[in-house]
Amino acid sequence: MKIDKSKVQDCLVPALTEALEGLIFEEIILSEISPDSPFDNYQPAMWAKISVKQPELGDFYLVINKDIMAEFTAAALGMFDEQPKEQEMLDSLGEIHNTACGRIMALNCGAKTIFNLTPPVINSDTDLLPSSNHVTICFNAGDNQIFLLLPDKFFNHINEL
Amino acid sequence: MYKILITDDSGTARMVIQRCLEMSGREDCTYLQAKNGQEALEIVRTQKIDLLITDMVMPEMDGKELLKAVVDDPAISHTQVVVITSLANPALENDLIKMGARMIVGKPVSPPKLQECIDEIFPSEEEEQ
Repeated sequence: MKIDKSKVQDCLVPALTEALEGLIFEEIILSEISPDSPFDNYQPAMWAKISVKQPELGDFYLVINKDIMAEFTAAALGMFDEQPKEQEMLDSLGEIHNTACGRIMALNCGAKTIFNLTPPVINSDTDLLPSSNHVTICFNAGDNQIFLLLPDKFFNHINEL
Repeated sequence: MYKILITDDSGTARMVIQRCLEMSGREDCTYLQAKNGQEALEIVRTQKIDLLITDMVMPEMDGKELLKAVVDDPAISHTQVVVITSLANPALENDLIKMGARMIVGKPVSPPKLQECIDEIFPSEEEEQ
């Protein structure tokens, strides 16, 4: 599938920026778009999945390294002197992804469409991430990398806009 | 004192919302929290809640079902309801306002956004003068 980088820049970066700046005060920059899932060298990682049910676009994933997620969680919860617990990190990841997906859909579905997302599912096993029908987009958040895996259907949808 | 119930399945979201509200500087508000619509409805039915703040996507009972349950129950229908959601767009806003929500606030929240919301629903004495 051919992905137009400028379209990704226009459709995804503002949404993800809003979500991350609003919750953890971190700016993001689009790094690269790849059909591969380069997570072997990105461990330990955790991921969140949200399914877009209306319109039916499939599963959106956000993958973040655990150490980076600990920093993000501490920023979101205002924890300056203590390390966040695993459950707090998982919960924060779900909330970041929920906000990001909502903003992605709000910015790309038009004002007249009511869309529907499932609650986030969180996991730490990157072997369970999809190996086909998804595109991996890498963003730089400060010195760190985070990844969005979006279904081909989403890109077909934005290409029609 | 105004009693505000914050409902969201994410503990992070509940904490961020409460912190934003506290940063607004209003000292006439106290806060309670619920993890889903069902838990929130029980609290609204048993305690006098002035403002119910709810997320949309939650397990067990979502924000829309919670809003409907509050609006349809004459004993608690006076409770103001604000929906905070990442799904905010004009179509959803129209839908929820028609159902009886007082206001829709898009995620991510910020202290100024929530301060504006609280000040409109509960004008402070300074603003009333």
